[in-house]
Amino acid sequence: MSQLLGIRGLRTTFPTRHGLVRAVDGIDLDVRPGECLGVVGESGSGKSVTFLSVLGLVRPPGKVEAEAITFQGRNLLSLAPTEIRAIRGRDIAVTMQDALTALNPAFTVETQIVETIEAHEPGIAKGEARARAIEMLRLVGIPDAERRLASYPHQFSGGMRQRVMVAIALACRPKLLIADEPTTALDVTIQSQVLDLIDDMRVRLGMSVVLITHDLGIVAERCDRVAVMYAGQVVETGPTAEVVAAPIHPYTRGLLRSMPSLAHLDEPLVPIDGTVPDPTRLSDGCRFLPRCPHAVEVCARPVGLRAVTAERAARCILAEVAR
Amino acid sequence: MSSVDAALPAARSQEESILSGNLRDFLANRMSVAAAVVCLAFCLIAIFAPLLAPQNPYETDLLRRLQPPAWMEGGERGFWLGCDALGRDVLSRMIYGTRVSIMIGVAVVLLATVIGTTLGLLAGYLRGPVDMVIARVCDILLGFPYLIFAIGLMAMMGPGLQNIILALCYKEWVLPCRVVRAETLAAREQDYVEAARALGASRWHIMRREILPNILSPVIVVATFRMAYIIIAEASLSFLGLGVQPPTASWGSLVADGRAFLLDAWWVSTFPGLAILALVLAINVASQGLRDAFDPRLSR
Amino acid sequence: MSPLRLAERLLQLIPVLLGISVIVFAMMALTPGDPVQIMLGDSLADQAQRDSLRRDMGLDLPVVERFFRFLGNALTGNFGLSFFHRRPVMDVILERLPATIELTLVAMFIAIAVAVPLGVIAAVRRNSLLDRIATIGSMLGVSMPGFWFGILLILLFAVNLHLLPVSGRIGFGHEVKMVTGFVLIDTLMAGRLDSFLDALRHMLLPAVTLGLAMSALLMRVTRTSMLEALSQDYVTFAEAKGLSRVRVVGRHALKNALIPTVTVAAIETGSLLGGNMIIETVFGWPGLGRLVVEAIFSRNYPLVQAAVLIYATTYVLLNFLADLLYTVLNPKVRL
Repeated sequence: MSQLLGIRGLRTTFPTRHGLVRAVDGIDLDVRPGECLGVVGESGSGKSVTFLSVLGLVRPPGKVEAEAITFQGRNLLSLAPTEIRAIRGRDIAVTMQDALTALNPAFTVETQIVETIEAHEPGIAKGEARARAIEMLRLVGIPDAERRLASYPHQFSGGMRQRVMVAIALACRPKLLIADEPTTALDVTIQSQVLDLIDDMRVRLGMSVVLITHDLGIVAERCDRVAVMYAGQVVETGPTAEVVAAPIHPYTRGLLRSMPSLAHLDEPLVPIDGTVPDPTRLSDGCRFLPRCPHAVEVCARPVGLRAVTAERAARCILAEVAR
Repeated sequence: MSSVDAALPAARSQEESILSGNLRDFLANRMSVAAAVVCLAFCLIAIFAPLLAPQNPYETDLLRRLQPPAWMEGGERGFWLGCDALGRDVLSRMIYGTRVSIMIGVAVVLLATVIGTTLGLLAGYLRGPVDMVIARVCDILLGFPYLIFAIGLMAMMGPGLQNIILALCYKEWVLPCRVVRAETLAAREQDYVEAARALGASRWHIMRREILPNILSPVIVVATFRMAYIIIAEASLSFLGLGVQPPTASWGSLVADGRAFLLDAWWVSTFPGLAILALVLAINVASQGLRDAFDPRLSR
Repeated sequence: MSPLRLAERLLQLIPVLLGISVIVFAMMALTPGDPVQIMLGDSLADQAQRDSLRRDMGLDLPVVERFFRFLGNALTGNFGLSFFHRRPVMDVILERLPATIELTLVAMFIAIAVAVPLGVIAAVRRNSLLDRIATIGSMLGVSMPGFWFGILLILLFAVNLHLLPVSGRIGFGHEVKMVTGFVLIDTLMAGRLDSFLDALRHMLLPAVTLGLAMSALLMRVTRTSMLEALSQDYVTFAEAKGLSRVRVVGRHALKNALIPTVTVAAIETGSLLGGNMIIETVFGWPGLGRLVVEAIFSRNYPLVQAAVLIYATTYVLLNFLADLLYTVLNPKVRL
């Protein structure tokens, strides 16, 4: 069985004043051992919520339902809170979009790394945990690691802070790293450094990475497989090279066309017309319908994720044509 | 608050629609509406005190000295909440006391809001030396604990209705002033003000007609919740004997009247205090609702 | 905070304190009527005595000169004589001050001990029954006139249940030699546990009354800042690291939430000073607050003036301390 994490039929909803927001609506996803899976979509498409749901980090009144969420063969849904807590940080680690807000401003970096190690290895000697913290900081490329342990997060530069967060996430050598928009908050020049670091760590620690981003370019460069999300659903998945070369879903096509490419500088960028649907008023049919240039009558009926090849699928009637 | 990038007329209409939306939010909060109704009831009691009071609040009758409430043994119909040490009807004195509390609360808040808003507008819009002087005075006045300042002033000026209003106003204007100054500083950078300036509007015109209407909701919010504090402050001063002069009834002095007779006449102190609590609580709950509806930044 | 920044902040206090002394001086100087006449009242002093008093008080000097004399004297703690007590004003004040400080500290302690845990629990269990009760309670607390609440407590615990004394600082037969002026410390130093407990019983009602409004406010601030902290990314990240709920709430969220709470607590302690006058009057507490109220009625203006100045200075210093605490607690500002 070649899956590390398997998500089946995940639904996450938030009741609000204006109605029920279906942030994640029936997602199936697999993460394979050692791979880098790119999850692409606009903000609000449910990428981050999907993985917060997996880890049980959705706050009330948000509600998570799923047929199954299996990690290394265990169903996470049936675990007790202490059991799932033991998985967080140790087996599945997370980095967040902006290290400035994700790191606690009131604690030193040392405290924040050491507490993670101690949470998963109770009884570890203070000195040993500290040594591990220094090692992690070195590993992610923080110069003068031993001295920087005593620093507070705001005393680091943006790129260094992001590295610190990666160091904390990887302190317990997780099997899966969920990197939520790891570069959005960074300068362009530092972005690739951080991505290189994550790549490097993936290979060295032999872990899988889920790279959540809105930038299809990053995914095209770095991910083995990609899942494109739109309005709480996966609309297309497959090996990145194939999806980029021959996108099936009109949304994926739109994304590719609205993306600047070095190879085709002379081609005009084409934005996707229209806006993302109101998450409280989602239709049963294809959610891209109002913006789709190929829409036909049947698109108003529910559209499932249709397999195109063994590896590819798309939530679109065009998938039939592609097959 | 208002739209940043819209042109002048658009900003106006948006402001209006937000205001009516806020009103709807407020009305949807049942607690706040109930509290507002209670406040209104107190106002009506104050206005129609002579019609509502069952007895003459000033008429002493030593035969009724410390007479218990009507439902207790020795009580009498018509003297529902009992009588004080001079045989005056507690309920009637409370009803007249409502006038003092509400009048002082409204007068102080109104006066302080007008003064504070004017100075805050000037400080925030003109900046420079005007701002410096006003800010300094605010700093100094904020250096006094509120009640101490008022008590000190009352000690020097002597008791009396007018003096209380003055004593509380001397410091009270600082709060609206600070709020208005901060809001004005933010507002003067907004496009609708820039636009008015570009059209050649005078400084007065801009302050009064452009900025003031747009910063009004935090001012109202501050004013309402300060009202609660002022009423407690007045009651406290009157309790110490530094408030309105006897025989005028104020809730605070009514509580003080009963203090010497706690052992045998608990009702003299208890009921007036309950009235203070009820009114202040109602104002606080209503202003909380107002705050939530009008100014999310101030809420919680 | 660097020593330089600290010095700068201290220097900024000077104009404020100066302004405060101007106002305190003006309160007295602008009082309508002849202060000597008011102070002596109906006493049978003759003209010569009146003139000599006027000279002693410097009332024959021009206003500006009088102000500088007042300022100079105030800086050395000389506020003139209290006619009522026939002793220097400062002596009388210093004698009463410990009682007020002690009551304020105990009230503050009670307020913090009640408010902070309650605020944290209310935030963590948001919208639970306890949260609702705490929110309603805090609304009641801020709306409660302190003097009336004190009277209710007296009615209930002293008059009806006879559990606690009605007023005073210590019971008959429990008096001990005052060394520090703090009765809780002095009784312990004298080795009189029974007297210590008696003093504690006397302190309970006034301290609870004084602390009520503060704890109501503090609870609300704690709850708000805790809710704010709990919604931050760093809390989600801490949970994603696999930390226990206790550690996430009790360390990650609380440490950040305490920054505003401590600041408000320090400022509110200053506000307790005003409440003191009223609460000390209600409970017959022999502190500075009651002294001032008595002084007002005996027209002992030099004492009122001195007390207002001392209160205001303390208040300013407490606010300064709050500022300082905020910087110390917040590593981001420490640079």
